[in-house]
Amino acid sequence: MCPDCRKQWEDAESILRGAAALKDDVRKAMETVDWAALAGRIADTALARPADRPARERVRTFGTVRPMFGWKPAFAGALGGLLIGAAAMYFALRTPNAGGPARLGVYASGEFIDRAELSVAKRETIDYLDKSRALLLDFVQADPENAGRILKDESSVRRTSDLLAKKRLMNVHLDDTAMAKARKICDQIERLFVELSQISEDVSAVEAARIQKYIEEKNLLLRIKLLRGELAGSEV
Amino acid sequence: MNAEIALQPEGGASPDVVTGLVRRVRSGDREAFVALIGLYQKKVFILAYSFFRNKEDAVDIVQDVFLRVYEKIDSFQESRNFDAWLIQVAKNLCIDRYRQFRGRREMESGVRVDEIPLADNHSPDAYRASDLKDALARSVDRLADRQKTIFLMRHVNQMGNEEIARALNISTGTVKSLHFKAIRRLRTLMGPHLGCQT
Repeated sequence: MCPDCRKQWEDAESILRGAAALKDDVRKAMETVDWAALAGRIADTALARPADRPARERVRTFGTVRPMFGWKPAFAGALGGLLIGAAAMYFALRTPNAGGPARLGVYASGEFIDRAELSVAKRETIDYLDKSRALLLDFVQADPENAGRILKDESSVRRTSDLLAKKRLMNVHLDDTAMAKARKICDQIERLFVELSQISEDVSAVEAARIQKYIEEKNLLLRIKLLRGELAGSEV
Repeated sequence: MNAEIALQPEGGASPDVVTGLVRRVRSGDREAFVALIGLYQKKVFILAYSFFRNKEDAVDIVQDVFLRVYEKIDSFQESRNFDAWLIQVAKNLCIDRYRQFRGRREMESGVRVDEIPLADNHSPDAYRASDLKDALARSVDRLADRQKTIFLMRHVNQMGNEEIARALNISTGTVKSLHFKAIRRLRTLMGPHLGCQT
């Protein structure tokens, strides 16, 4: 990749990373809204409004527009002529690109953006895999007697919750065919986190051992590691 | 409040379910309207929040959108995609309100939006991810309406090109083209900030 292309590539990635950060703000704001109450309030307001209001608005609209065009065809014709004439003058006399921003070199393909998006998606997935692996390692390496307590400490609960939220944000990127393999493993991790988030602190040692065994039997940690390496290796 | 709120509508109801709810809403069924709002309110909120970056304004938009939907529900044709119709209503309200909002902000501050610096660039060392986000947010404000809408739908609402095309009643090719132009324009607007990143 030439230096110019590299710079453009990095810029596009930065913009997309910034966009991903905007989503975090939205998510935080969403957590503070009482959605059930909001829906009820809107429905009550809508139903309390006079039923004939929209109809009256329609009548008023037609009442003002129709006389202009229905009763004065000469005026409507003159107005139409003016508009068509102005449009024709605009297209005939405009200077191409006058005053527009300077063109940016060879930055010219929508595919370029798609590739930049894919690259950002890979980085996001790698981050997700790293954090997931660390959390699963904490659980797998724990004594089954203490595994439940470890999962339910404040930090682990937050990490699990963050990873579940992150996975949902990633889903749209994982739909890309190039990410099909990653999607399969990430879905599996997500299902596991859902299960882990639902078990109680006093989970039995037998149950904890069962989940630990499941993780080992599925070679989940190894597969995460391999997938991570694959994604990192294919990054541009 | 649920800590795992995703940037997606609830559940993802089938078109048949949505059509059934729409019919019941037409007959004045409150519970059906509450259910319909519940399905889509987060999606509308995300779009509105991405325009205004303010929770109160976004909630106001959510209310106005569903009040408008209720008013116009009789004119909704069941052969149409409800999601697309709803997002079109939301998009129109967001753009209308945003124009008023921008005018008000410029009047209050006496400074045009275009003249507001993108970030306080004291030193390159002070550059952080949040600076990039803030600079991007202000740059997005400067995009043309359609470019801005498409960029936000794509990256914040996480809508696909086809879904955006349906909602805006334009072709997928136009969506791609406007998205590309939005990125190119953002790159111009954010040039200094992109340059000082490590």
